[in-house]
Amino acid sequence: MRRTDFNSKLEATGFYIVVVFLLFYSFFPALWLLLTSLKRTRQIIHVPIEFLPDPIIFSQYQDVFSKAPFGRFILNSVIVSLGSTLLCIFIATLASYALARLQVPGKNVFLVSFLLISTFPLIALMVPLFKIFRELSLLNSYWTLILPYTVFSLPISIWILTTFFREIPEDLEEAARIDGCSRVGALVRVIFPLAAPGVATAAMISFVNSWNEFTLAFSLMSERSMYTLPVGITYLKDQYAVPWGLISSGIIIAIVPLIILIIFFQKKLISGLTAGAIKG
Amino acid sequence: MKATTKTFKYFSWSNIKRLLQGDLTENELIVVLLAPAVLFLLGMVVYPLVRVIHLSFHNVRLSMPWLGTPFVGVKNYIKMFTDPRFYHSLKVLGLYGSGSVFFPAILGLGMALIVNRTFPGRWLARAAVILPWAMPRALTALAWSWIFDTSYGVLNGGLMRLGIIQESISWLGNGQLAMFSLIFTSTWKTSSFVALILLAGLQSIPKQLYEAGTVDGATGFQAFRYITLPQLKSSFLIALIFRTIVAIQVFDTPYALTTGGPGTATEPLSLYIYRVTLNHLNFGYGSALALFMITMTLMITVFYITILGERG
Repeated sequence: MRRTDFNSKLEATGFYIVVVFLLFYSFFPALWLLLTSLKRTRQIIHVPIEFLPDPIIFSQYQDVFSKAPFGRFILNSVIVSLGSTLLCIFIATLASYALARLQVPGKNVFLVSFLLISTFPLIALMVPLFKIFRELSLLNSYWTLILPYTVFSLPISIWILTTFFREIPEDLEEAARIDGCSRVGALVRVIFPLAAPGVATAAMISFVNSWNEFTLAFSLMSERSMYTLPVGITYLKDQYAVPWGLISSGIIIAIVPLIILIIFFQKKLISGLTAGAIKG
Repeated sequence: MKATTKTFKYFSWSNIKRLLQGDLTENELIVVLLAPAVLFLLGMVVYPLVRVIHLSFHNVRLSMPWLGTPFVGVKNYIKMFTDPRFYHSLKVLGLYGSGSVFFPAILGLGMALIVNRTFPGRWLARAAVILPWAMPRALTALAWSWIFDTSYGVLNGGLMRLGIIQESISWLGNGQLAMFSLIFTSTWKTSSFVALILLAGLQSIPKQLYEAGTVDGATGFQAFRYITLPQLKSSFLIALIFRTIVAIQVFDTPYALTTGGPGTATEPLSLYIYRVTLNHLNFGYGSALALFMITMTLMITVFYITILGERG
């Protein structure tokens, strides 16, 4: 008896050591950026290395706004991410309802083409998109990013929402129609509100996709005032003495919304992400 | 003629009134609901695809507009298959790709097994699994390039403090080390994805299987080997295929970490496409390279769809 006790204790300890290692491994880059962002520049480039900020300062966070148009980067990221998320969710909701509930001819063609799109290489599409947006004089406008981002979040949003619509009982819709709702009325008043949790999941994932996208934002926006956060921060590195304090505080600011999502909507994010791959 | 009258009738006032009241037939509803998605697909994927095919058969140099855009047949493709830098970029892609599929697969499995257990503080472990997925790839690579920094990076600083090394190591300045750092960074970023897919797979394994295993006296390891692993096979396959597709195309991680350097030591196909297209402004050749990548991705996706089809 005692021996198994000892064994299970040993196993539990071993397990927790592994967990602590996992936490350290995953949180270390963010933690190190946070520490860097709180140090004075002199301390950041001190040799030998000093791990903890002494004194703790917050001026890097002010400097990132005064030495770079960081407020503008945030604004651009917000506009592009919200714009593409709203557009994507709107389009995906309509399409998913049709795919889940109606007798769409060639339904599989749609589903397969969505799958194909989700795997399309952005860097390869950048080549024609650059030409097309240039011809339309749309380079350096928000549409340049909103339009492709919308499309590239469509597949996963459609997968998530189709699953959701399938789970809403059909009786509800029929009841609404008997009560005098038109077809579209029943959709808007009864079905869409019930799909709200699915919509929230899809919206979060497409927001994260757009917020984090770099390839197109970097290739299609050449004016500094149009950079999104990942691009604006990456360009800070192109200097003789790399301002790691500014970069670190910039990255910390850029990942705050992501960390909020992870803390409050962990389960939703996980379910949404895996829905795309497993049920697709 | 008949069709015209029919169209005309369709747009008659009474019909439009019916539509505006939201009283649609099933077919009309299908068209209305799917039209936006279809239009977006055509405009943002199909049309660009047609354009990139067209461009690849022309000489299009934005830096030399006086040349016009003459048709050159398969010249861009001939150039591609005789371009040593193209082959080099494929070699880099092969090495980087296999590393950043293999290691995330192993680590992802480990992470999934950890967070699939119930223990106090599991939410924190779950957060640790999701965080790398949620971080932007470019900024992740930037963060690691700071950690790997030769003079002031915490990796060298830490190793020196511990007395393991005496002189700083140039993690990103030496070809082989830069490749190692790239694969490491990519593994950090993408293990989460594999873990999340496998976690969903683990949770769908029926509990009875394990109960039956315990009754038969299976040890923990035997249960893992003979129940968990076989049941995870299809989730594993999906995760691997997705990882492969993403690894083939990833641009931001190598760009923000090493910019392909030193020299072209870590320049995969994606970076070469970017160089040719936006640095040299050679859109014709860039398109040929882009189509090569699209074809490669397409082949893997078709393979993936076939497997999904077989699973039903």
